[in-house]
Amino acid sequence: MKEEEEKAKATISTEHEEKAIGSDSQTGQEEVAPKTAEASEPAVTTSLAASVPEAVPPVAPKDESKEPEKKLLEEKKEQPATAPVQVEANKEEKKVEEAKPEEKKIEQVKVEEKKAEEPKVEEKKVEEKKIEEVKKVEEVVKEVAKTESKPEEVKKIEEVVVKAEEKKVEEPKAEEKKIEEVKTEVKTEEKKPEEPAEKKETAVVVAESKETKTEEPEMKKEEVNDKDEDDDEDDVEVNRDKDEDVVIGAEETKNQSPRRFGLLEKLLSLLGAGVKEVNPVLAGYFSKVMMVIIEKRKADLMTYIFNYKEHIQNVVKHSYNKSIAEVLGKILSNEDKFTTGMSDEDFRAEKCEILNSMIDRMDATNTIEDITNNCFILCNLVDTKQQIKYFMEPENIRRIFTIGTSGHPMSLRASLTFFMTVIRTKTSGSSNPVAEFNLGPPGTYYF
Amino acid sequence: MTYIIEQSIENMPKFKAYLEKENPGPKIDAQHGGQLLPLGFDRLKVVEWLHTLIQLKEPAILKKITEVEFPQLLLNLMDIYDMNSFLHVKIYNIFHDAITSGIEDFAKSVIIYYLSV
Repeated sequence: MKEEEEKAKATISTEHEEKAIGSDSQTGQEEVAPKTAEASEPAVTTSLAASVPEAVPPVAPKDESKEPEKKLLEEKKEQPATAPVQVEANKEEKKVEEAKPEEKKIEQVKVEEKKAEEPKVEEKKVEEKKIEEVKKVEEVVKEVAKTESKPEEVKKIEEVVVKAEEKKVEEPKAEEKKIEEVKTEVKTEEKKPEEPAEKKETAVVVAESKETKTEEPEMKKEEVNDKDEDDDEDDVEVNRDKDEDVVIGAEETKNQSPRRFGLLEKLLSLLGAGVKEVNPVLAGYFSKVMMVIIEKRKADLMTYIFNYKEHIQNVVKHSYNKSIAEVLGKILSNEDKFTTGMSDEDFRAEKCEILNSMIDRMDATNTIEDITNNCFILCNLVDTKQQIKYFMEPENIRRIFTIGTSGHPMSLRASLTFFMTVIRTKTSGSSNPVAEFNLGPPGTYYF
Repeated sequence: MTYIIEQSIENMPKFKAYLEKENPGPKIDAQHGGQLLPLGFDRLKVVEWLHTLIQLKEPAILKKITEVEFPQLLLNLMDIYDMNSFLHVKIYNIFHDAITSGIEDFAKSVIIYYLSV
């Protein structure tokens, strides 16, 4: 019974195998391929499988395990007949299949390159973004600068507009002036026949003034006996010219001082308020220039200096220098009131202020140069009429004595020198020198 | 009398004190080998100032000068600064002017001083 059952099973298995092979040939190649030795040749196996059912007889169930091997060997033997065409096709397929991975590799490389390039691109994008931001910031800064500069531009434009408006306003005025000038010219032409008489009158007035001016120097001659007559006449002529200059100059300096005295201002800026100590070499040149100006343009210089007090104060401040002290002495020795265009009292008050400051600089707190130079100037000023009146005032005498007896040997020497010059100048040539001082009670002018 | 004379009379003791003050200055080597005390320009100036005041022949000034005993002081200065000819010349002129111009008090004071010495 068992044998019969085994035979039945074997027949069933063979039938199943045959069905399976037939179905394989009909359905497709994929199921057969794993069973073949070469997985890379499915087409060959299918062709073989198709031919197998007819050639292979039914096999006993015992040899079922060996059948596939036999089939394979048979297939291998049969292959050369059908191979050449199929191999070529396979080779092409292989090539195609081999080419595909290369392409894949190329694609992969490309992808990798793309991936590698991506960060660079990102970096470039970041840099571009930064550059754009910087550009934006620059633009913003420029706009801000423009907005800041705008007010100036606006101001300029406004100024131009204002000037244009002023011109518009001035133009009619100028036209009016021209019309007035024309009218005045017409009037003068009408009055011309009458002018000679007026000229005569003016000439008479000038002649009278000249006579009066010549009388004034005669008075001076009486007062100053030392000078010769010829010298006096020359001086008078010079003074006359200066009188005229000064009266004009005093008015002009108030109006035109910035333009007219520009160079003189520069020269005097050498002794400016910010200068602590004057260069002695430059001070020498300064004094020479100032001396020449005093000789040539005395009136202008005096008007300028006495109208701008800061300059004279600066000169006093730097009187420790001998050259500048000489300039100061030269300025103060000028007694002509015409030079300043001031009244006598104002002029005297100005000089008194300067002399006060000079006496203060003889104090023991100052340097030896300050004391000696100021003493030298004061001694030279003793001869002049106005200064001796100032020096003879009790307050000033007391001040100089107190400075002299303060304990500083240099101050003592300076004060004694000053008083000796005062006494000697006033007692020289007189038989009774003490009588020279007995001109009035203390506190009044004695000379 | 002027205010200068008044002030000079008032300050006469100060001038005297200045002349009497000891000279602390260092001594100078003299050519003859010894050491000399320098007079100083300031002392010479005070002596000169006295001479100018005496030249005024103002009685009040002369009286004050004799009261303060300036003649004796001047003679002492001649002893102290025995080699200073500038000072000697000044003092000589002072005495000469005082005696020749008839300033009796001043002359008397000098004579009395010498007699007492």
